Amino acid sequence: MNYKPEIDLFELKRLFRDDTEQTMALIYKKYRGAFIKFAKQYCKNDILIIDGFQDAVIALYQNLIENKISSNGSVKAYLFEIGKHKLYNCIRKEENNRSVETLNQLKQNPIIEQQSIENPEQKNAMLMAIEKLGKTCQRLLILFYYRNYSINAIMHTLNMKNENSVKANKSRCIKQLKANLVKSKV
Amino acid sequence: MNISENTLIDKYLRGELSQEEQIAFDKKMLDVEFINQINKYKILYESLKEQDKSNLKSFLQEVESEIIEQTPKKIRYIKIITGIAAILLIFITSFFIYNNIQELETKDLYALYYKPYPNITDPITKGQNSYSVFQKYENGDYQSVIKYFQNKNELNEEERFYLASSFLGFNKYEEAKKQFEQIIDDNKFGQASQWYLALICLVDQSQDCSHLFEKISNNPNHIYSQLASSILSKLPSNK
Repeated sequence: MNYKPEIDLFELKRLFRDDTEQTMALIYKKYRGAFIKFAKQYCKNDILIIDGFQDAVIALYQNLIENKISSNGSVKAYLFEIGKHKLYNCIRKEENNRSVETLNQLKQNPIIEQQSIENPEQKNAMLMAIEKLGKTCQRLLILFYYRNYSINAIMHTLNMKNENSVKANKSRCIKQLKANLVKSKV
Repeated sequence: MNISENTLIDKYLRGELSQEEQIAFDKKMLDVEFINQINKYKILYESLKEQDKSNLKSFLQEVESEIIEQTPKKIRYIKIITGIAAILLIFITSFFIYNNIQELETKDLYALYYKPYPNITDPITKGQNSYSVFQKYENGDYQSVIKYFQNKNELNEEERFYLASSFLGFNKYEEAKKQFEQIIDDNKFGQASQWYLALICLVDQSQDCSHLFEKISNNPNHIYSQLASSILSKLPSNK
């Protein structure tokens, strides 16, 4: 993949669709150093900075593929904005040196995903059922339901024979998932 | 639930419902069982999102580990290079500072103590129209003196001394040294030659000149004894 020196958010979304992991690794390596330097003004803990940056890259990817970003702009600016808020925990630890105002601003940022707290029991059961699936099934369902890949794209990504093979495998995985859910209730 | 319902739910979740399918979907939404199925798929979506996030987090942690594995080697390499460069820089700087200080001091000493030897052989008298070679020396016309004595086949001690002194006056230290060394034991000009040789030594930075001045200083009968003692107290190696 060839990258321009600065890519925009819409282009990044396309790149994530082409190859999520490779694009993510490139974005991570491209902005890691600059982010660490930027984050040092808010947080002194290197481990928390790296952790926050990883979460920020993933949040950027999620916001893009869930179509939560409607306007185009600089990847770096958006990523750093998310990253700054991902450092909330670190900043809280150093809160003696920070104003309450700053912390409140960080808490109320609209670009940070809100954790769904609906049906926590059902969700835990579902997570366990997914966990019990084979890696291929997990990947296939993630690609189809979450990443919204087309059947054709899944066929290429998972090196399957043809589109029918993808559909058949998907049905089999859903059945397996349902069986896992039933077992967990017993 | 039949296959078509599954397909309908899949298309709904992926935002791919056509107008027709949307109508069919809306009708199905009156069925509580269908709504339950939709809700289960929404939970599946949320769970897959979380699973994807967890997988990607592990992936980025691996990327981070690769970066860290590579970074120490780079840093170690850079640190070694920087360390060597710093040591060399300190060494070279110290060397130059030390030498510059020594050069300044010894050259200053030379400039401070060097005085041309007086023309005692044939001093200039008032009203003279032409000058002898010694008088040219007295006038500071060292080039003419050097030329004159170099054209002579043989030089006596006195002439050699003034040739050496002219070289010195003309800043030809090596040539001066060679001439002074030949008359170092001369009764009349020996002590002066010793003195000038010691002064020439100050110009040459590679030598420790103390022993030359000590030899002069230790001889109470030496005409330059006091000057040698004075210069010894100022030499860097004797501070």
